[in-house]
Amino acid sequence: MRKLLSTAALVLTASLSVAVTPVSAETGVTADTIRIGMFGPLTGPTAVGSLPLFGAAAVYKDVNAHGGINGRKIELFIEDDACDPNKTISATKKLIAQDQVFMVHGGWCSGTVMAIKPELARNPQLPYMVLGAASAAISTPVMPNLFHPIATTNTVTRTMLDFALSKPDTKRVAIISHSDEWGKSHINPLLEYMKTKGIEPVESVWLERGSTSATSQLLKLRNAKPDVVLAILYPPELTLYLRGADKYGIKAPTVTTQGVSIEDMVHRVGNPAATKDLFVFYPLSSTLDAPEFSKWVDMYRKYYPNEPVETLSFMGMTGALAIVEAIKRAGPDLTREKVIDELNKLRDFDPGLQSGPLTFTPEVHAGITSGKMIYWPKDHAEIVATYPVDR
Amino acid sequence: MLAQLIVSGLVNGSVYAVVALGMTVLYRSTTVVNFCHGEFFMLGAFAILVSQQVLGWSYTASILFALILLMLFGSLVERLLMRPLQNAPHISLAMMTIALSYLFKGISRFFYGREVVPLEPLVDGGPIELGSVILLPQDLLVAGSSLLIVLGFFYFFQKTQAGKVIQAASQTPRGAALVGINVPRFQNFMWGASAALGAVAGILIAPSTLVYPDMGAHMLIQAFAAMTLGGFGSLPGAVLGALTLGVLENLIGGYVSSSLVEITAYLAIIVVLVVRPQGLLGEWRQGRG
Amino acid sequence: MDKSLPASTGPASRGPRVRYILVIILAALLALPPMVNDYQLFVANTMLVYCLVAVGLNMVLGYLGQLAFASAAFFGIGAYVAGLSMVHLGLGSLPAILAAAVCGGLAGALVGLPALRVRGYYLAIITLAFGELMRWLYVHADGVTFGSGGFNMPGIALFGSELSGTGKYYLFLAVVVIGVGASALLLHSRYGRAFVAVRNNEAAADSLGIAVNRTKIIAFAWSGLITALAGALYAILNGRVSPDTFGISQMLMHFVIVMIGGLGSLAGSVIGAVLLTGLPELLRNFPGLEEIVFSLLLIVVLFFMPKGVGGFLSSRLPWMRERLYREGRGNA
Repeated sequence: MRKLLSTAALVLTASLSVAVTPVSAETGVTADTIRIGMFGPLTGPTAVGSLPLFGAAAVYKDVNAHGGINGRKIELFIEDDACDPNKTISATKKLIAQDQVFMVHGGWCSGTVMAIKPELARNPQLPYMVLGAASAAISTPVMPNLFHPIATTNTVTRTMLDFALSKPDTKRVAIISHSDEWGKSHINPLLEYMKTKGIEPVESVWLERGSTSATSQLLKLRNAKPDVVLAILYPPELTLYLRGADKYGIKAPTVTTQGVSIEDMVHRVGNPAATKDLFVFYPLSSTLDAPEFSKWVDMYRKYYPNEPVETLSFMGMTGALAIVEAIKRAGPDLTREKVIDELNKLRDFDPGLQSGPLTFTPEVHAGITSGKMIYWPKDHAEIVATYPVDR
Repeated sequence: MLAQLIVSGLVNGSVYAVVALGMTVLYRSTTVVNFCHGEFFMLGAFAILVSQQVLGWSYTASILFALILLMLFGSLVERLLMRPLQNAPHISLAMMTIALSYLFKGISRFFYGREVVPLEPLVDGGPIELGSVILLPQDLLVAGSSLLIVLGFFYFFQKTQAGKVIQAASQTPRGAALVGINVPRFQNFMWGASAALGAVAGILIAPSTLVYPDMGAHMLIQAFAAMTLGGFGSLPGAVLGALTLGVLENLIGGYVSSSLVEITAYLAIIVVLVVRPQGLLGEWRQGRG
Repeated sequence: MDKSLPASTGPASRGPRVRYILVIILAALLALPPMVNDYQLFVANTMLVYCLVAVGLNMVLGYLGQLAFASAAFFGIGAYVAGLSMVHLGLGSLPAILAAAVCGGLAGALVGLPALRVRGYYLAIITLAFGELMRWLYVHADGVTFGSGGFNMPGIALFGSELSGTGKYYLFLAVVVIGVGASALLLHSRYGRAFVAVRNNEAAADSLGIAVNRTKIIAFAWSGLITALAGALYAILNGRVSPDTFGISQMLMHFVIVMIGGLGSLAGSVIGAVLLTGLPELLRNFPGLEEIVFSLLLIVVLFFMPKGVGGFLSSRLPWMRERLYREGRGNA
């Protein structure tokens, strides 16, 4: 018994000689490096969300290739969260507590970003930039250290409805949506906006992720004879819908969110008749093949030559460019507080990548408030602001 | 709308039927419920994809390739991974199939994780209208092929000598062994056949649903529900249950609520097991079932 | 017959050694928090939660020998009851955890009822369906459950002060020690022996006067209680409860932990939980390999260590043997 107690005491005292945490001028910053932590779904069913991460990383790598910022190069720490909120929480904790990053830029699935908000609140000095998640609940109410450079679901749904109503004689609006968090984060602001316009949907159906057939939903929509269908679906289910709409003869145009890329959809559906009336919310400034956009495409291809080039690939770049700008403006004496300050002073920031300027104020951290629509009428993409009537 | 819902439901159900048949055939002959059957389905579709797009073969060659590949694959799985465990408790066998399911999914995700790839339809053609019902040529092909397979299987089991031997071996492996039937080889063959059936279902449905690593999981649940509904272990039951499930999903989605479609399979399972555990056509057996 | 059992492994020679080792482990665990950073503490807390999960599932799967896929459902019920009672009813953390445990026990007893009628794969399917229906409920009863997005937990406070990572750790450690300890006591009582008797041969157990139905319900209820307790802790740990967490992947994770750790072994449950919670963290630098590694590990265990890592160790180290652990053919 004595032996037992003394051994236990030994273990306890040995372990109480604690490891010392190193103290530095600012976490994640040395004389020549800045640590930026990133996370996104590199694997898993939503792995397409890794493309914006690669785009943002391409920006950082390009900055390094041109000498860094104020003499410092960016060191990236990339974590996979597979769109699982629990993985995201541990990834974020690792980046903050173990990798000791200066700031974090990440999050494609809205659920994962919502899940780490408490962690961000516990670290209010750490700047955090959303990578690609769009739910308006992320940035409303505003959090001092959370910045949202993506068109939120509020903006997206408002643009979608305005666009749909810009088609002459449009009265009957129908909706098909996922019922998960992503879907609901679009549906709720959409319905509210419709109410302000005095409209109600003539039919509203749910289609689950992973469905292999949408027959009952399509038939209900067809029966409702809509003038336009607002689709809040991810690419596989949108494909199912478009093919089915063509098959069952639903003639209404389809307006959808920024969760899909037009090139990808046209390729997947493989039937031009089914996609010629598809309008996708478009967050970028021009089509990917436009000459003014080539510098971004080249940048992406230089660092990620094996990854597909589509709209999603560029969605994270705006946030990265804003971060680089804020760090630059903060000067050589770099602190987290200064970067947050500089982000809060960002007005009409437009590096030529996105469809509208980015503005952050201390009260509003949802930086993008407009967007356009893109469609593929014949053999290439075209951007439109209102419904193209001369067709 | 009712006619369309029913007809489309039958088309969907016929694919479930091929999957459920594959699982039931294996269950009947080896008493193993194969949780990785969904992955045979998925691998069949991927086999077509790879042979078409990477190797550049024609559709027909790809289909043959996929079937042969999966048949060999099922055989290999049995020989290398299942046979060593044949005396282990059933939970170990079940867990092995679950582990395999994870493994195959993981491997295909490794190669095709970031994309969802479209396959060309087996038959082209615009929609066909029969009264108020619209069908695609693909739908007719799917339903027709499934029907052929199901009928083929029944003919095989009921009318041919080999089929009867297989039935005997399923019912009493010991008795069959006593009579000189090579039971391990028979079981090996059944694994291959079951995998090939899974591949057929994948080939039929992949052009409509696109090819991605998780496509098997959804199908597995539908197959389970179909087997439960029709009577676990009954071959005609699996088919009947599958067709019923397909129609039920559409009817519930169309007339009750589209948010119920995703859990129709689970509701069916619970209702059947509470009200009539032997399903529509099965025999109620206590114990392992 | 367990021929490898050497002659002198009665309680007299095993007891002090086991106690010695348990105390050492406990002391090390108590001393942990200052030595690790916040992230590692988070991982340690997750391991504690899954220890409880493994013990809970083992109750039904390993000791009672029933193929029940309801573990994720109990886990979810615990998380939702704890979270919702804090958000809607303003309960404190301890009462919320208690409420979760009670609801888990009731749910367990409820799930035990069909287990009286069906067995084997039938039970597996019906419990799986139960889990998915619970998930559907969480999504669609969004007035109460906040729907598919889930909800954030309020700040966790104990005796008036807010809990940090370290505070949570000690709370979890206490709950896990109590939970595992109580389970051990249950297993060594006549109820626990009844579980194993029913698993090995129901008819024989019945003829010995064991109330088979009541035994099954007790096992299921206890399993539900422990697993729901783990769910409550999980909600507190993550600070967020959402439906997607408690689906089939969660269920499979539980299964893999118990299979690799060892069916019918408390030590195995702990080993499995620690191993399989730590593994994804170690695989962070190799995205996409997690599924493959997990499944290969499971296959290796199924081939070479059918009694799991726990069973393997206890065949090498006699002092680890648990009296109730037997190689069971089971009715599953």
